[in-house]
Amino acid sequence: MNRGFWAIFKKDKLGMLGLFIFILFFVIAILGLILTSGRHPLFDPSMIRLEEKLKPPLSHANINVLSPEQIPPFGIYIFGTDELGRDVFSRMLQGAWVSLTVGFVAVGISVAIGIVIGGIAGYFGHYYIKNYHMLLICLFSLGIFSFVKRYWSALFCTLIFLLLLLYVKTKSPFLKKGIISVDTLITGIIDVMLCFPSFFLILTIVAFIPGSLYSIMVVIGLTSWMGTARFVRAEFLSLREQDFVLAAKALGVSEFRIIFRHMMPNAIAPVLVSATLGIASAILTEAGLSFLGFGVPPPHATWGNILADGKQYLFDAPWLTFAPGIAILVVVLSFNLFGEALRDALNPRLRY
Amino acid sequence: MELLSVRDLNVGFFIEEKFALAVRDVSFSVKKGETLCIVGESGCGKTVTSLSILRLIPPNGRIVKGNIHFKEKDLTRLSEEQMRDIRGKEISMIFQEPLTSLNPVFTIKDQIAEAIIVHENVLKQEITDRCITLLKEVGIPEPEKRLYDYPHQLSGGQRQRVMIAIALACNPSLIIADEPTTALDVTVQAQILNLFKELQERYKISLLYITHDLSVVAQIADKVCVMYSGIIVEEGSVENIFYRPAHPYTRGLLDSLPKRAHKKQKLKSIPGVVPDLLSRPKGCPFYPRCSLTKQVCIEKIPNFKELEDGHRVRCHILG
Amino acid sequence: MGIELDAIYWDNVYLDDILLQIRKIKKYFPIKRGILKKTVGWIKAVDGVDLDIAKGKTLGLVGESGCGKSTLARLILRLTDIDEGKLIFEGREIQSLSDKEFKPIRKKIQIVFQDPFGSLNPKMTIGETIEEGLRVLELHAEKRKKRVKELLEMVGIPASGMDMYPHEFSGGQRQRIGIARALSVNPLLIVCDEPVSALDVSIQAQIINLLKDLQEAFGIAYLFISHDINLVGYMSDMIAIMYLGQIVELADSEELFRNPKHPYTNLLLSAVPEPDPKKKIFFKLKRQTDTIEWVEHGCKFWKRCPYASSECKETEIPLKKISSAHWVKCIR
Repeated sequence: MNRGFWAIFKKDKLGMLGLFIFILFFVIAILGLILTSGRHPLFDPSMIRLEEKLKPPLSHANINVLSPEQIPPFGIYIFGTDELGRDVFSRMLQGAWVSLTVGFVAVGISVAIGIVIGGIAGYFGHYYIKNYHMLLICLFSLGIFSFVKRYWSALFCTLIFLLLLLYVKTKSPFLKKGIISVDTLITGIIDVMLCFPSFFLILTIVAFIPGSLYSIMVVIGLTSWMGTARFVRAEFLSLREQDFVLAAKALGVSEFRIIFRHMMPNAIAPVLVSATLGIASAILTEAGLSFLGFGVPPPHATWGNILADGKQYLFDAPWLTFAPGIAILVVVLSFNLFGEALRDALNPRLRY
Repeated sequence: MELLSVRDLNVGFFIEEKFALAVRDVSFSVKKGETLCIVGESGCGKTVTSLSILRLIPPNGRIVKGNIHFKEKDLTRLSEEQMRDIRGKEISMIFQEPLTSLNPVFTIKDQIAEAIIVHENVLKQEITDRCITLLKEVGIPEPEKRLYDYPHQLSGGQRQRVMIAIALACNPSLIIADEPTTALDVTVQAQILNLFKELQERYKISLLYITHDLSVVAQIADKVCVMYSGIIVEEGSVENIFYRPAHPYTRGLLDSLPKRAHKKQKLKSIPGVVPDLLSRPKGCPFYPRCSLTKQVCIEKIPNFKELEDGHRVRCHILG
Repeated sequence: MGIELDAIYWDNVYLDDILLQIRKIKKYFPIKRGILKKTVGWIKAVDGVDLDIAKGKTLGLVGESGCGKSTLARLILRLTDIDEGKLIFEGREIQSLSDKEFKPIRKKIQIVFQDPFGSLNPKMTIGETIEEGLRVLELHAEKRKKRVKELLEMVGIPASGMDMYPHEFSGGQRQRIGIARALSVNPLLIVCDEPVSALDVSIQAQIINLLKDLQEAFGIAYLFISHDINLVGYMSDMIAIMYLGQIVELADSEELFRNPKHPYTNLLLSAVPEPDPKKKIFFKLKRQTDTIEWVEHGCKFWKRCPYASSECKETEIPLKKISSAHWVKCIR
């Protein structure tokens, strides 16, 4: 990252706007966490005021009917109140932190998986997996699976497992040969993963596990690493043939150091871009899940469930849908703009 | 009779919001049937010069000053439509990389035919015949079969021959060749150079040959222009340049070629590096690397001095 | 079978002076077609090459593109696995060593690449790039800094440049940095894979002089690979001519130019343009061809050779010694 990068990035007005909103969102989310948590938070998102339900934005709180701790800060509902009289602004603040963490943690998980899997496919992809290794893995998993069901079949599998091992140790040209390379296997897995429509895959998984903020993050992370893996694989494939990598090998630099010191910094640019775009889509996915009721469980506010709750009062209280809707739009758009500007600025073809 | 004459050509480029002249006060002329070589290192402006003759310089470039006269027409004043009639018909161009200058999805025949159809009205059968004769001209064996090949089925040398066939398609009077043999092996290069000579003798085509390789210049040129940092530092007949080089840069280039006979000696190299387009010195562009530099060299760009017939040099000290 | 010491090409040097012996080395790449990636044939990139490199001397290797010279370079550095044959470095067979056993030898053989742009890591300062080699030597951080400065000055780059990135340097300077990196581990042999062909003419001479100076100062041996026979003639003590994966002629550099024997060497020499307008190129080929056609049996050159006979097509011809420092692979 040097001067050339900033010079190009600064010229992109939309990208700068994206970056600005990105930072603003970050600050708001952190402030939101501080202001909405604790025993007596300044903005209490779960304070129910049944007398004050569905008040429009910027309306004053009716001091006469509320007890002192129920009065919102400054005495006004900035974004109005919902059907239970909860302050929408406080709920939005709490939701911002959820969106931020879901975005970053989910993408963090997916990038970590993507780099490891893509890196293995790109760097070690030309190695062949020996046939007996494949068979052993298949038998092993079959064994574990049947162990759950019936003991005798597990015993049978272990027996074949050991016989096979003995047979290979003696001689068997077919089993010692490999027909599948590491790269074929991993790209195959990536393609299979991409076949599932990701949102429905997440829905299916979420239906089986107890919903919580953390499980949502992990599930989104586990189902969105394929793009990163593809990028890293492609970069590594071209980098490993570069002269400077060969020179490092000739010097006797260790494989670990070649991968992390010589190749990774050169492969990280597209990953960074896809991560930024990935945050946007993770936020959107989380909002979607919450909207459908599969997301973070109810007392906790997220932009998605504010939206879901508000949709029944679309005509009576449009602010309930507009506030989270516009917030999601602006944040997702800013991440996309920032990501695209990043891609342009990091593209070496434009720089040199 | 001068076929092409370039006078005081100045071409500049916008780079990082600055304007820099890549070619400064370049003048030369090419007679009918003659070969002029422009020789120089990367970034000296030789390719820009050749592209500005066909007005094909990139969009951030401008011809600032100068005329390019071709058959009594000033190419700098023609409309884009009139230029299109000249490109490929009167003047054609051959590029360095034969793999990228042919379109991979069309057959050889399609690409040669394209060059003919654009400029002439010809019958279908006639085109096939002409393609075959052209391929025979440039020495491609079994042209009838090769006609329906795609570029990737040919070797580098054959692709360059096809490029030459395309250039010849409309009987141009001038061919501009920009490093046509640089990407080829020596044995193929020798064949292509021979081909250029044969064709030139047969059709009396003028050739503007751009290269960095002095050995190739010695083989093919009648006249030579040596360019450095956007200006022509020396020009003359090929004998003058090789046997009586005057400019310190030309001498330096010739001395830096490795010779087997003088194996024990060190090569005489030119110290320093080629100046960047944006940071060129004010005076003679060569003074930072020259061993004869005096105060006058630092202050202003030297003018041409005539040494003998047609041999001119831009140097304050020599000549 | 032990190390064949009798098959040494250098009569004029003692056996102790041989640094690297290459014996019958082979590398075939499979040609794969179809969905099942069935092997339909082999590209014989390096097909039984024998060469000796002496300490502190330069062996030139000349050949056209696709003749396997770069593959040979990679085989010597063990960047590619060898299919068959032996590499004997300082009397020790190195082709079958494990990576761990090979590590101490690895740093004694270094490489300088052709492309000055791809050979340096764009995300590392040149100081860091050169330091990588010193790390392998396990030097202390302070000593490393000092040595980096020394190395940079040795190749003519101001030491102040060590914190700069490769894109701030010109092609010639980058090539110097590449040489400094190769020197950092005190190698005995540097493989120069077309080290100057991507550079401007006036810069080429600087790099050639630098390489010669370094050889004099440190006694490094070079395997100098190039397509430019004049340049190789200037640089080398011995020259090997390579054609389609085989060495067709090997001779003392003066002998080769004075008395070229193989028709391919003759063809190469006659095709090289001289920087002299009076010496025009003239050569003859059996038939004009721009393609190097693959030949399965016999002499690889017979299809282009003006003297080819039916015998050439069938018999495999060994590299024969014809005088004290001259070997030819030709029937005549």
